[in-house]
Amino acid sequence: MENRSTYWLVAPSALIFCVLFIAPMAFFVVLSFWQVEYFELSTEPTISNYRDVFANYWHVMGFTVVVATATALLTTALGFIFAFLARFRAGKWAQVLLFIVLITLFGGYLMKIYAWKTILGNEGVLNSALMAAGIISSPITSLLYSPQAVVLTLMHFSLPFAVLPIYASMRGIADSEVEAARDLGARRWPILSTVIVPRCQSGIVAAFSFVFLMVGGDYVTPLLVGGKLTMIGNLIAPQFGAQFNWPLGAAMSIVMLIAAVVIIYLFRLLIALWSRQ
Amino acid sequence: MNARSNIFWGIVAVLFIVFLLSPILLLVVFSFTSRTLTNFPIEALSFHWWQEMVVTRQFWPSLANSLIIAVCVAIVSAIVGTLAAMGLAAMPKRRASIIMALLTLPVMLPPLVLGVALLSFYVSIDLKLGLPTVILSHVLFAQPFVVLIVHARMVNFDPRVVESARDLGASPLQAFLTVTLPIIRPVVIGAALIAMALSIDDFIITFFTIGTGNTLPTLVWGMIRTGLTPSVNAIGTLILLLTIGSTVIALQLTRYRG
Amino acid sequence: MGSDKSKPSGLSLTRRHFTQALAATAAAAAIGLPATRARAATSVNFVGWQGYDDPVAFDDFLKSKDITLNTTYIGNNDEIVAKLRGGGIGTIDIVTPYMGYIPLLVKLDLIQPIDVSRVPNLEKVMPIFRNDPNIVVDGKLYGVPFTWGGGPMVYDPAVFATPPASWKDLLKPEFTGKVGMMDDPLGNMMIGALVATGTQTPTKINAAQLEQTIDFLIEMKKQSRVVAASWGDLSDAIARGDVAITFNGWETMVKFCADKGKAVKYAYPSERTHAWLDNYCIAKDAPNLDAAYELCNRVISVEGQKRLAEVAIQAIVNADAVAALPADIRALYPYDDIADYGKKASFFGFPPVEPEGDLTTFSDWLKAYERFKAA
Repeated sequence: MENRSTYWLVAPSALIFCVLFIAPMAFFVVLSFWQVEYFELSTEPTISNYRDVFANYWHVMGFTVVVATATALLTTALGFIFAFLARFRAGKWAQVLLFIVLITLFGGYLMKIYAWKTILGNEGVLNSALMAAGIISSPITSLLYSPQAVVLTLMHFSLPFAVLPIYASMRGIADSEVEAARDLGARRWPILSTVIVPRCQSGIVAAFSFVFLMVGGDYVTPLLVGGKLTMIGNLIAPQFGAQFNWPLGAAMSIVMLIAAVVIIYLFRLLIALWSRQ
Repeated sequence: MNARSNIFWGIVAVLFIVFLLSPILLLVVFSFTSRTLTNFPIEALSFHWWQEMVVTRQFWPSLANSLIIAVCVAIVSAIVGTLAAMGLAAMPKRRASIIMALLTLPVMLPPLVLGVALLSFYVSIDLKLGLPTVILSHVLFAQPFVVLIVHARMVNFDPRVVESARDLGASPLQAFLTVTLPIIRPVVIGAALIAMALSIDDFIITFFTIGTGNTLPTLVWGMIRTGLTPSVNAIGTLILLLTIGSTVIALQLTRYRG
Repeated sequence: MGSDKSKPSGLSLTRRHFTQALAATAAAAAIGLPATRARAATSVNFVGWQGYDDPVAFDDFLKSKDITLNTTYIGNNDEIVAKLRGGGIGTIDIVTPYMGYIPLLVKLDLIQPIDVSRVPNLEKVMPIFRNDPNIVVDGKLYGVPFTWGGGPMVYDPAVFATPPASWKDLLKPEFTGKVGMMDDPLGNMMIGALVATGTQTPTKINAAQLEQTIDFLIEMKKQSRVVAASWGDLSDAIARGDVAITFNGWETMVKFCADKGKAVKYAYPSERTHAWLDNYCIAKDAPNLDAAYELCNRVISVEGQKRLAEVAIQAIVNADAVAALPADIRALYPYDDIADYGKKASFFGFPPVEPEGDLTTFSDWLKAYERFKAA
């Protein structure tokens, strides 16, 4: 009786999960095997959408994977440094640092991208400030509308997502463990590499996955600060708007997700290898 | 040596804080500029763009839509998520963590994929797009946060308190209302506020599932299309005020008693 | 839940609290939900370009008719198709497509014919617009035309004193990194076809010509700094000095840039450009038909048209309104000789919707444009 009611409590949540997540995703997979011809949907199963993705859009997919991997690696590294700082170096300031990360976590997705656009333009905040200060005489033109601008913006809004899981796993490391290693004569880098990283494996992998998926599926950032940069999201979004080719958009999304799973798996292997050495 | 290391980490900390906060602060500052372009120099501080914002035709309906959606999402997620967290807390640990990982899956998915998958699903089952479909979609990604936050509190909860209430003759519902709820209430409210912040902030999923009409973020998106005036900054500041404000309150509520 | 066997009196107070809390919650939800439904006024769902709601919304006309406007702005014409097909039928009342899209919208059964008797102001609309072959399908009128214009080359005179004569000139080294494009599939491809293939009918081209067109657009993309998400975004890029000249454009960008304190000019290169005629169309199964007709009539009224011409600097269609314009505004567009405008910008038809000989269809165009996007 007690036990059964326990499961009933989870039922509403599970119902939402099944009806609004499992069912739509299952339909989405089915959809990717349909086809649109002259604006009419045909439910005859075909793999032509997938063939299309690999034949015509593999370079956009590849570019997206490269950008997402680079951003995820950089952000995870920064997140690790930040978490390390908060856990082992900041003392009573740790609460302040975490507070800042938490408040930037839950707000301002679109506003952060927009802010970077106003910061990086030819007559943007950064250039106008540098010129007013007399540091430069003509604006640096390569700031906005470049791959660097995209990576910078993506790093900015995904950093909190990287810090938190790593910090959570660092909390499991007792100060005494680090001290014990130091007493045994280990220097700073080996402690980091052989004590801290192995203990944070799950946090690091979670951080990387979060950031990779967020970047891999983003289309607003390239649109606003990337200039003419195209990532796979910029091709997926119009399939559900202007192009009206939902099946192709579904196939693109699924290929992107599979690529993400593969990269995340490889990253996990890499971290596991590092930890075993 | 130690002092030098402290200075080094101090500089690193400052750099991080500047990187995280300066875009947000600049956004706020430029909502008070008197000029049309958002750059330096700021000649004079003014409320001009805030006045522009409140007379923008679409502003009030968008604000109303954002708030209606956020309140509904907060209430539904809080109820559903709290129930689930209680159920999970009473389950064997391993099973609970598997169920929790499953429930969290929608959060891991890129919002674009979730948005277009929900759009095609709603259309295929002939559900009319509008505020209700946005609310459903937001509950999907907001409820896992409620489950996680409340569950973290529930596992520290001493079940003997409830048992003794039951021994005194209270029904499960009475025991919940008189014993459990008062203890976890701050955390539930905190979690509901986080759900609200997530809902107000969401752009991508709203964009694909709203059909017609606007929320604050989709209004900003529309305004970016005709050019970037500082009244976008004013609306942005308002969004940040709502999301960061509710997050700060939520952190207070969940931390002090958690 | 289990049954209430014993009811200790101490709990009754709490139960009352709980009931109150429930009532409060229900009330909070109630404030939200019915408020959207039970609004006294008729709420018209409008899907169109930013600013296209202004001629009907700028004064107290809407209030006098008890109408509120629920606007969704679009970034290109295809979004109209997308919104209507993506669950919009039955909720959307008005869409504002470019005339070329009307045959497609009719074929897809997304808009309904206009009952001319309910739009009396149509009589004042210049015949060249009212009788445009695209907006009449099977003898029935499907759109209320209200504004027109072209896709000129917009440039910053402070950087380039005289604009180049040809679209092709933009590929020259002195323009590298200074060109701005806009993500406007049909407009880009029409200009691209005019320039790359030399055809006079850029929407009637074969597969090889389409290929040439896209190759040319990709060349242009290499030359550009940005492919903007919207006309506003492109205007912003010029106003901020990120680009100095555009491939494809809109006369109204002059106004967008002026708002930001930047004076820009436009020119029509020798290969010409596309011209467009935008319409108010009533969606199929529009829930607020009466209000929709009110708006259709209002947008071509003298007041609405004057507003459009004077504030948005757009070209208008109502002959009485044209006559009432101040001379300087009137001089902005060749109202007296619209045929002459055709030498700079032409009203081309639409690519075939269904296969037609060796001509490429609109589906082929959208598909081909993906190659440009992915490049």
